[in-house]
Amino acid sequence: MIWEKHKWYIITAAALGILIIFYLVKSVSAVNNTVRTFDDAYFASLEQKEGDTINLCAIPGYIDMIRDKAFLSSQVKMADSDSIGLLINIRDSVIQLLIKGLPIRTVRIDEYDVSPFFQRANQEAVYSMLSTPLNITGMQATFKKDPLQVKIAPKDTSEAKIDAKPDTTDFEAVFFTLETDSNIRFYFEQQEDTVGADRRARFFFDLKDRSRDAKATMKAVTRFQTPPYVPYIKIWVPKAEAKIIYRAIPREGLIVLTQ
Amino acid sequence: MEEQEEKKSGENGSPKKDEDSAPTGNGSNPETGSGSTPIGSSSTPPTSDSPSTPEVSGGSTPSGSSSNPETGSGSTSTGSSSTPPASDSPSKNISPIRRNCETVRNYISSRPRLRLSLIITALVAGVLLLLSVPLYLAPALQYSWGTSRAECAVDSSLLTNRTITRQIANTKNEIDRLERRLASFIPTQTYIVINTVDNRFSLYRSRKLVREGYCSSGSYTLLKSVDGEKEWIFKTPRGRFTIQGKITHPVWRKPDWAFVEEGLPIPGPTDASRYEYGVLGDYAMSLGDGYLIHGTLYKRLLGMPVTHGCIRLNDDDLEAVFNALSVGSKVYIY
Repeated sequence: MIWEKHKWYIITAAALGILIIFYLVKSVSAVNNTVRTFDDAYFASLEQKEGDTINLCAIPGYIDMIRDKAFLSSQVKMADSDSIGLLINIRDSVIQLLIKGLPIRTVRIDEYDVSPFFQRANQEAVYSMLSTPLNITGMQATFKKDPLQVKIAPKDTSEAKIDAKPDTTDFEAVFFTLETDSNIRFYFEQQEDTVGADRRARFFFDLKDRSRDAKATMKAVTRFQTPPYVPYIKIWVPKAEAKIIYRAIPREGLIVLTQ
Repeated sequence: MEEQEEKKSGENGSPKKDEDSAPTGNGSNPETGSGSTPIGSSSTPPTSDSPSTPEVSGGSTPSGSSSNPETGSGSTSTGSSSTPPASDSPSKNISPIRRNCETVRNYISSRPRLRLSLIITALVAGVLLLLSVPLYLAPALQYSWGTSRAECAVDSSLLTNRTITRQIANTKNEIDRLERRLASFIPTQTYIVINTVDNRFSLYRSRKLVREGYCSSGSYTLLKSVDGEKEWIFKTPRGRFTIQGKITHPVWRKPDWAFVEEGLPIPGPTDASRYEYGVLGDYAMSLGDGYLIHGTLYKRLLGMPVTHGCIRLNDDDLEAVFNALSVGSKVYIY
């Protein structure tokens, strides 16, 4: 009787449940798939298989040396370029802005969150990737990168006036993301508590980002493919510092990362 | 089935008394229509219309003593059914929860607007719940599911392998080389760093900070001429620059935008009105492309982005910087 009465409800709920489980399974498998693809690509470049080599991680202290070497190598490559670069040292919780190898600003990282990709991938492969600076390919923010004001010239001297407008960015929410060519996404968030408009700005900025990922995942799931996964690093820094970093970094700037 | 039976009884109004099932043995009051009947509390079956029957509202039935086999209600447990059926009315045996649900349902049914609001609320909640799966639940699962390979078991015996020890030595040498290379990028001369976001400068000598203070940098203004044909952006360029020239008592040769900005006609290139004395302070240092580090008359605006791309300093700072930097000194602007 219950079945007869609620047949379509039950069928719909069951279908929805199956879809959700399938979506979740695919989403979770996306991480492992990305890790596997990344590792395979690295060992293919060495013309070896992962099992053929000695696990460098097993040599005492050696993996740390590889990490240091990759970090220095990447810094030198960035210093050779003319661009203003960003150095992110997760291990020491420090961010630096660099011009031609000279640190011009140092910011302490208040808090960070690293994607599981960096723990699950082969460490040798990760440091190999990080031995070259990451190129920024896109950036989004809750505030303007160049706060350009358009001014139409006065017709005569009576219209002319000296105007000095203070920077009002302190009253804006400061959240931004940097996309890189190595498929790693960096999230920068203000460490100060968000209230009112800031909270709304943060929520919608985060929602937009999540929606974009969910859309890509959904697209892949409906085609029975493994969805894409973008490894990320989330960093919380003081609002004023985050603003300086975002404004200083060129749109196609470089990032040196160590973790 | 139960629901239908209940409905039936509801349709018939108050439950009819069945003479055959009169001895209820549970002390229920049929007039109340209550289903929460304490069963087995009395051994002598009273008549259903007995006035002494305790009226019970709410509460659960003490189980294990009797049940009504006809209704098959789940509210009373069977097993020691020594008493005859309580009543033929199924509504009497429904649980208090169900009864309350029924009351709520009837209440909602009688108010279409409330019903519509509840349906909309339920739909919205369902949609939000569904959306939370791809937006929040899936990323959370991605984060927590999987095994870390960052840590692995160390095998000290590998250090005895000659190939590996050679590889380690090579890596150490490579690290030393890279460290030396990196150190070579840091200037040993005096240099200045300009922060255009906070409008501050820092002067370094032998890699040590010797002076810092406020400056003014580009205003990020896009000036358009009245006819819209010409436009200028007033921003300070970023990157590494070198001091290309040092000037004392500089004279400002006003460019076209200075006239356009004031609403004045643009004079000829050698017109006397193009030259202004004393507005750039006592010193100026050229960075190339017309950009200068110079003084200002508008000292109250220091620390604000108000210039046309040049860097303004106050008189004392300007003098200190002018004396510290030489032609070829590095200027880092970010």
